[in-house]
Amino acid sequence: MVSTSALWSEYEEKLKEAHARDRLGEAESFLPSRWTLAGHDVGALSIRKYLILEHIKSPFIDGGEGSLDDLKNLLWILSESFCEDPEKAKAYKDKLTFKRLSIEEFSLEAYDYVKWNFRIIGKEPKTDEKVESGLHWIVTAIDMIASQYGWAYKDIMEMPIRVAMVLSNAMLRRLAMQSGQKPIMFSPEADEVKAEFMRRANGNG
Amino acid sequence: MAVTQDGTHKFGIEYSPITIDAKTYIAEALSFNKTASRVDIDDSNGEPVGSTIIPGRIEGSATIQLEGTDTAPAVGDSFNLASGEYTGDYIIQDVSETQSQGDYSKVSINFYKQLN
Repeated sequence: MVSTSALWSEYEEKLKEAHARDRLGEAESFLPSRWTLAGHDVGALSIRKYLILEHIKSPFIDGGEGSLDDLKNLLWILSESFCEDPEKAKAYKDKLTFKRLSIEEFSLEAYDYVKWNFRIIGKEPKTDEKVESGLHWIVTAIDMIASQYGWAYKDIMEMPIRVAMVLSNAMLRRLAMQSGQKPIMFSPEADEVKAEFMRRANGNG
Repeated sequence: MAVTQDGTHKFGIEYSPITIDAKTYIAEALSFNKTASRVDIDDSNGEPVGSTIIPGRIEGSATIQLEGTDTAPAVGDSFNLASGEYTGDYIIQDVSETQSQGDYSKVSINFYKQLN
């Protein structure tokens, strides 16, 4: 069995590299992002679009498989031209063509996209998670950003979820330090490396 | 429940594995503080004429990442640092509530160096 010291010397460098990736990922959250789903360009997932997908119970946000209609709805909502006009929605969806379409493959692509948007807080979106107050986590996030920055909630709703999460983490760090507390910080890539190290060190993986 | 350092790495660095009751955790953001108190001597007019510094405890803090659903170390647990500038036995005096994000859970602890 490898000693903890030997294992740590193997993981110390991995941890530094993971931290560098986390920092880069946080910074890149502020840059425009482009994804292609089923051959169609989509932008970053905003808070508003996420809530709409949750409202219509889109199967893709939880990693499920959907129908062709579910797929078209997702692409419409994530498109740059998305609006509340049902006629425009129909026109957009009617024009959609697919060179290659396997609903299983698309479901995986779509879930990868959702996970990427939630990557800042961990591997999975965990959309059913509630904070201790019982509020939807998005309510808490909007309340925090609005009260700290004074931004209008409509502007916050258009923020990419990745940006909202990066800012929320930075805000929690600042607030903790201002109140004399040491903030507990999370870094998805680095935390994953640490978890792997602990599993191996404790003989659980 | 004793906590012992495993390895020869220096503490005071950003991360370090620690072994608690034969279980390894990751301690991060380790920091230490050498405390002291100042005693002033004033003359009859209340003006300071001398001071002396009395060394206090060495205190520290860290964040500990837990594995899975493991429970956090408890207040009163002691641990030993076997190498580095802050070698010695330490007692945990504060443990925060567990905070989780995604798949990971962490607690922050404050500790002080045991006198004897």
